[in-house]
Amino acid sequence: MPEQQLFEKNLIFQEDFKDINEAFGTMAKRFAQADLVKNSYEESIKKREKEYPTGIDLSIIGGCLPNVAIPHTEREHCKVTKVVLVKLNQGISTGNMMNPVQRLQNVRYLFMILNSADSEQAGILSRIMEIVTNIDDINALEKAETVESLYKVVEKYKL
Amino acid sequence: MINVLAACGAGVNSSHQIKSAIEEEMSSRGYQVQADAVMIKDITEELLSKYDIFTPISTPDVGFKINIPIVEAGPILYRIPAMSRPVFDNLEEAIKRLNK
Repeated sequence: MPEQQLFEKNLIFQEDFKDINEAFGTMAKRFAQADLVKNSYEESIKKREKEYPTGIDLSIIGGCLPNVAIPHTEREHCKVTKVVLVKLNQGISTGNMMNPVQRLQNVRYLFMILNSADSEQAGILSRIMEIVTNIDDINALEKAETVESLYKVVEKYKL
Repeated sequence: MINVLAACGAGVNSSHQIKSAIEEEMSSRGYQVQADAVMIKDITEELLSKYDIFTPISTPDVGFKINIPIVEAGPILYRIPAMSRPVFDNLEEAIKRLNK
């Protein structure tokens, strides 16, 4: 497969969601309009996040980093393989993927992974983990205040 | 051959990353390990009986007693050696105890 950007500028957002369900509701509608997902995506991503939360605790990395989440659901609900970055102006809470009963606060970035049925991109999550465990990148995302500047931080990452 | 079952909510992403990381690291430690990745909701007693070790992100409630060794593999996902090494060490210990 030729080298492909992990992120696309038109799939980077900066938002004021008050909780994860509002984020899923709004983003799912946008994805459906752009024909990236099926109509079943919204219900499926909400259910999946509830049962198997995807928050990643970055406090273990150090440096007072905000937390992130990597929401994704079964392939059958997606039509494409893409990563969508959402910067949240106010932190929200999600469950911790490594310990689902624990709530993580100050989740400030969503790396929403869309996996389509016909492709297997096991490398996507490793790329995302590479970004979120890189203190310089997260600090640069923190400073970025526009979609354009957020994109500049992550454009170096390839699939 | 040691058969390992990785699992996560959607059966993609996390469990696949765990599968690849385990196969690579255990191979470099000299073990023949074959790992599969599935959705947690697809785990049955019959499925688990085909594996030697279960490596979920965190131990799920599957509704029955799991009779094979469980090694929680979540920390591998961070791709930070200091975090993944204890998981691989636990896995290696579990492999040794299998006496296969």
